[in-house]
Formats: sequence, structure tokens, C-alpha cells
Amino acid sequence: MLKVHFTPGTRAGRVVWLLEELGLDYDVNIMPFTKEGLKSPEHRSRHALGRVPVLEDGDISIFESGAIIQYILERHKDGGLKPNSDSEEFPYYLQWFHYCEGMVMPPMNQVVVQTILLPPDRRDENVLKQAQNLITKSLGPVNENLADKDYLVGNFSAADLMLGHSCFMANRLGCVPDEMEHIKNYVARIEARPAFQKAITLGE
Amino acid sequence: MLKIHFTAGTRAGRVVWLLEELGLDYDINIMPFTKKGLKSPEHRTRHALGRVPVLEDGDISIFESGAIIQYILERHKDGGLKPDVSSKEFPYYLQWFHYCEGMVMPPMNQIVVQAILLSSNRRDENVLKQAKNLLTKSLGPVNKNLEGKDYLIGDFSAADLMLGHSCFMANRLGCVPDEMENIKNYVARIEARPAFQKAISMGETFFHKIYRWWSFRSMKKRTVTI
Repeated sequence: MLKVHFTPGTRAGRVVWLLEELGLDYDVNIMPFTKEGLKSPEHRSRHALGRVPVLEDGDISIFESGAIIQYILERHKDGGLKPNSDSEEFPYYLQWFHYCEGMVMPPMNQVVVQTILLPPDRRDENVLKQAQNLITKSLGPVNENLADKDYLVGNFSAADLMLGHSCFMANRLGCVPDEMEHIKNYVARIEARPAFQKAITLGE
Repeated sequence: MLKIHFTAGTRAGRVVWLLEELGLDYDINIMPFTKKGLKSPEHRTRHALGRVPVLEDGDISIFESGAIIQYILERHKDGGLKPDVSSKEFPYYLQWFHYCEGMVMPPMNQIVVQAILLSSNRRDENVLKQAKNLLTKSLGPVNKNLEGKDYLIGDFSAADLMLGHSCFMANRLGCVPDEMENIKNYVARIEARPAFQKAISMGETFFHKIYRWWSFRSMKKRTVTI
């Protein structure tokens, strides 16, 4: 039985979203974002820095949401969420899948650190502003790509589990300007999916 | 013919490294890190933010080094650099492949921005210190994993093209503490590979070497041990 180590509000939501979209059975260990939960010695035995998601599958225990998603698609079931490698969409599926952590999440991490994680006296307005600007810049190509599509490569795919989740998070943080209409509509489309709703409310 | 848009000292080196390891033919467009090169309107038609690598393959044009590497392995040749899906190594191949951009590159980007790209009056010493600490923390699991292994999953694989390149870069920035012996040895092993040497010296000019020496030296002088 697949087991996901999970905390609400984190990238672990992407894995639960995938499992729900695929209709796979799984156990979930919901941990609070505390020294007793996510940052406990017990969880640090699974991930030295106390991060989620972590996926257990028999003897296997792996971290990194991108790796976990690709692993499940290859070893368990892809449910049509990964385009065939000879299809036109395939290269762009990979591009947007990786764009998430490559371009969008680094500034988003900074925004979360500067608005939520750091105590107010240690925050830096300049760093926050630079990060917000960079998220917006990085979302530009995503917005443009979505001009003629419902999802990143047309049909819903695992690229949306990664970059769609990031767009949802960016929007929730107030970092998607109103002019980025296509992303706004995309986020609404994602929010309407039952599997996403299940994932985003889990443990809340 | 595969065509790669490239600038020295960037993630584009990973793609050239892959192509050299696989012995694939390719064309290369070497651009300087300037408004006329990387940040030109021409290159911005390929990547709106003026980034590299970008790979062209017939009608296809894609960015993101992780995507380009996975694309080449699937569509062209994997040369044994991607373990079989059913193998024991496969899950960990994916894990370390993604750990690169997921955990190591975010603080490394910050260090490059603070120590090299920003002018000295716009730098923030706190941000630089936090980033160096986080980079060291993120390298901890990598160092531990390399105990008893030559490469991330034993044999050389595409995970090393990503995370190995990052370890090399982190080491070059002076951010791999001496205690992380496994990473130090790993970087030396990588540096000895002819395909890596070809990739890392591609498009480098004497100016690059001097600039790197100068910025490394000025960064060391200004801070703060990790």
C-alpha cells in the first residue's frame, strides 16, 4: 500500500492530488508543521531536513514531489496523465513539469519565508518585493501558454499537478495579477476538480 | 540536428555534458551573458526571460534543463544513463534528479544573485548568509548518500548531470565545507570526465576565468563562515 507523509499547505498536496485523480488506494500520515510533527526526529529519519512529501512503497522511501509523481506514473498507473513519448505534447509536458521547481517555486519559497515563516522582526521588505516581482515575471510564459488551452498541454496532465498547484498557491498568496486572466481561469478550473479539492482540504 | 542555445557558466552546461556523454551530434549557439546575447530580443523569442538552456529539435523548442535531459533520454538515446523502470535504482534516480532544482538550486540561485549578480550596494549580507546555510543543509543528504558510492545511484546516470553539476558549482562558489568529503571526492570524479570538461569549458574565455576568480575572492573576503 502506498503511504504518503503529508502536511497541509505543502507540496505534499500534489501527490495526494495525483493519487485521487488516478483512483489509487493509499495511506496518509498527516503531520502538523511543528517540532512534534514535520520537524520531529521521527520524520527526520525519512527526510533529514524534515520535508514533505515522502512516499513509501514497500521497501522504497523517496522524497521530491516531482520524483514521486514521475515514479507513480511509471510504476503504478499513469491514467493518461503522461503523454506518449512520441506525441507532440510530450516535450512541452516535460518543459512545464520542470518549469514549476525550476522557475516558479524558488521566488515563491522566498515569499512564503518572508510573509509566513520568518517572525516579523526578521523579515526584509526588499527581498519580499524582489521575490514577488520574480514570481510575476516567471508566470508570464505560463499565462501566455494558457491563452488557447484549458490545461498546460491541452488536456489535463501531470504537468498541471506540479505547475497548476504552484499557480493555485501563487494566486492564494496574491501574486497573480488580475491581468493574467488565463492563469486566473486555469486556477478556477483546477479548483473545480474534485480530486484537487480533496487534496487541498486534507488535514486542514 | 539538435541545436542548443548556451551560455558559459549556466545550467546549459548540463545539456552539453549529456550530449557529449552520449556522443550525439549537435549544433551550438554560444551567447554571452549580455543584452546582446542572452538578454537580446532575439533570444527572448525562445525564452521570454532570456534563459538557457533552450533546445531545438526540428519544430520543437523547449526550455528547462531537467526537461531537456529527460526529453533527449526518451526520444534520442539514453546510453544507459536512465536506469530501467523496474530496477532498484529507479526511484532514487528520480529522487536525486529532482532534488537538484527542488532543494539545492534555490539557495544557490540566491548566492549567485547576492554575491555575483547584484552590485555591492544592493547586496544583503543576511540573505547571503541564510542562503549559504541553507545550501549546506541541503547538501547534507547528498553527502550522506554518496557514502560508499561513486555516483548518486552507484553507476553514473543522468541524475549526476543535474545534481552533480550543482555540486560542482557549489564547490566552485566555496560552499562545500571540507567535512563533506564524499561530495569533494564526487566533484573530483566528475571533473575527471572528458565529457564534463568539454561542457564546462565550452565558450569560456579568459575574461570568464578572471571574473570568477575576482567574484569568488570578493565573496570570501566579505563574509562570514557558513
